[in-house]
Amino acid sequence: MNEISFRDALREVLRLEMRVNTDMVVLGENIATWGGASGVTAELVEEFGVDRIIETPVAENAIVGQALGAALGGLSVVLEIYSADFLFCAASEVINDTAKWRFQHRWQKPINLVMRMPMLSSGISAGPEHTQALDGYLHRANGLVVVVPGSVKDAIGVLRAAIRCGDPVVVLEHRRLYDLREDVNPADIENYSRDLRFGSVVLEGTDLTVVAWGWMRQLVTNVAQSLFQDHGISIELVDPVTIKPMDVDTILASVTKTKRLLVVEEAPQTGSIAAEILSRVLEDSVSGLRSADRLTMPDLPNPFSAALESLLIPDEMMIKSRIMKILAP
Amino acid sequence: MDSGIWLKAFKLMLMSRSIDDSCKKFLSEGGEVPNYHSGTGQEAMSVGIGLAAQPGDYLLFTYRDFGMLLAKGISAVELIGDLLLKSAGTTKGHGGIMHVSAPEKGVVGRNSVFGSRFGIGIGLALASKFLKEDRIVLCPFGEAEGGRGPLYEALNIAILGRLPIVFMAENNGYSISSRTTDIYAAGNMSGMFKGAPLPTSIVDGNDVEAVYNATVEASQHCRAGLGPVFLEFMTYRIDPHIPADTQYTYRTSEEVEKRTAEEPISRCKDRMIADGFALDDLAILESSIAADIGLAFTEAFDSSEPELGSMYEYLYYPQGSWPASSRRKS
Repeated sequence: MNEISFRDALREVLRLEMRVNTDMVVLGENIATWGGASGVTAELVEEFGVDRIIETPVAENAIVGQALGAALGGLSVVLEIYSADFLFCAASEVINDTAKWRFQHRWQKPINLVMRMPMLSSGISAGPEHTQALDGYLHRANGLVVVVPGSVKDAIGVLRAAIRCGDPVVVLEHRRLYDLREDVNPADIENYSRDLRFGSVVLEGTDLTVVAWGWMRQLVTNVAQSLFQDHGISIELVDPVTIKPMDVDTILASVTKTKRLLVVEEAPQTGSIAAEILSRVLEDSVSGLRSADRLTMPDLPNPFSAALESLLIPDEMMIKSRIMKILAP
Repeated sequence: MDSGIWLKAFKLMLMSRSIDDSCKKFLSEGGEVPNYHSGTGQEAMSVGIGLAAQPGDYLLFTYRDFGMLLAKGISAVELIGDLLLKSAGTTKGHGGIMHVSAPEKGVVGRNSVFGSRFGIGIGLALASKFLKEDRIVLCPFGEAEGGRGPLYEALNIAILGRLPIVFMAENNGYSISSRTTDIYAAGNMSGMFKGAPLPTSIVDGNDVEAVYNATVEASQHCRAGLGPVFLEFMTYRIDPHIPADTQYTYRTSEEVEKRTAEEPISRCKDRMIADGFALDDLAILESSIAADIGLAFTEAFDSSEPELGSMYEYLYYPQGSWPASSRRKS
């Protein structure tokens, strides 16, 4: 086993995929000599040169369009957006063009296009325009695949699958995960690819299903371990990983077993992914369902103040107390 | 242009006009032609560009560019099938005239909201350059598209990367009801970019030979690796923006009449006769092409409607591979 960070793991996947696929390019702002907004692309230019690690101006409309056009023209394209919030600048290219290209044109070939970007808060007073959860905004853009890796191994599997799957994939990388380190089998760095159609049961349990992804998955993992040690509470943690189109069946199967559901989401409650998951569970009339709840953020922009922001984002204490409340006799 | 190209150009212009005439007749009889935008009056520009394109070149058309698509090898039946949203169309009744797609002919498709074609164009140009394919990108656009910021962004990137793309402003006088001269600070669509480090020029868009030659010259510039070119073609939209357009709120019938007299097909015909083509031969061509398009219209109309069950197949790749749980509960 080898310990590797989320950031370095993403870079290694890019490097290995670029070695195999000579028609693969990476586009983005400040990605060559500076490593991009999150350091993921650092040093790649030394191996692949400026023809494959392509620096762009700050021009989101043009570069998202360019990434789509280049993919239609036969390249495999990974586009880095400097901050997920900036994808809004190119909403038409993403939602009107990229998502609908296959549908509107009956496009037969793969569209090898990955848009990866840092999102959400790392608690550094980045303000509400640099800390938004994009998955909620994108989850009705039919034709897109939206993934949020919540572990180092998933980051590897998700990025490799995204590059290879032939669909436009938006990879949303939580800023707090970049420095997360995990022991990963070197063979996984070389080969692991997730099947993006399916979510994961991260922890098996019997008392309550918690659905969480991204940074929240890490928090719920910690909470589940401590609740089991301190109270014998058995949590089943489901990470959908692919937010769009979501593997609802894995969630339904878990809730059918535990009869209780909590969705933890780092996003405002209205229009949340959690709302969609709860609806699916209710629509499916899971027999014997005893509770279905969500822990989200209030309907507020993230404040600039890190102190205020920390009051809004679900933390381990909040998650723990909500679970205790749900399971209270 | 040699006489063979003149003849081709004339035929294609007639085909394009005849498609318009068929659509208008069908509409007048109560038929529906969804998203129909007439190309009448713009045929020289459309055909001149299409004929100058090499088979492999990428072409990003506008929804009035019937002649350009015909020149690129899309059949009249396919094009009318797209206009009627029938299975005879290139997207089998799904994407319609807004999304004509024949990637094997360099026609990847069309963005439906104005502005993104410039990005898509430089992306195709990047792919072509990277893959050393010797394909250039012809990127026509109208007043609406050219008013949007992505044009500036893409021009900048195209010039920086010396990408093989020709930006082709189709100035037909109007952006729906707004005069081009009123919504472009320079009074036209290319003036703003005169100071940019790329060749720009204005071409008589109703002269098919001028359009053809300008496109060939720009293409050679691109193929030589010298980077993008910006051309503006001056033409006139003779018909209303769409059939329901109350056009005389913003232009007079006198203006339309005057500009109709300058329309490109008679101009092409006069020139060909001056060059020695026989009037009778051209007249025969006119009637036979009108008859051919009539038959093509019937064939396209008689083809089936798109299939409901096929919709999920073109959402993800490989077609239909995602689990049913991502679909709506029935």
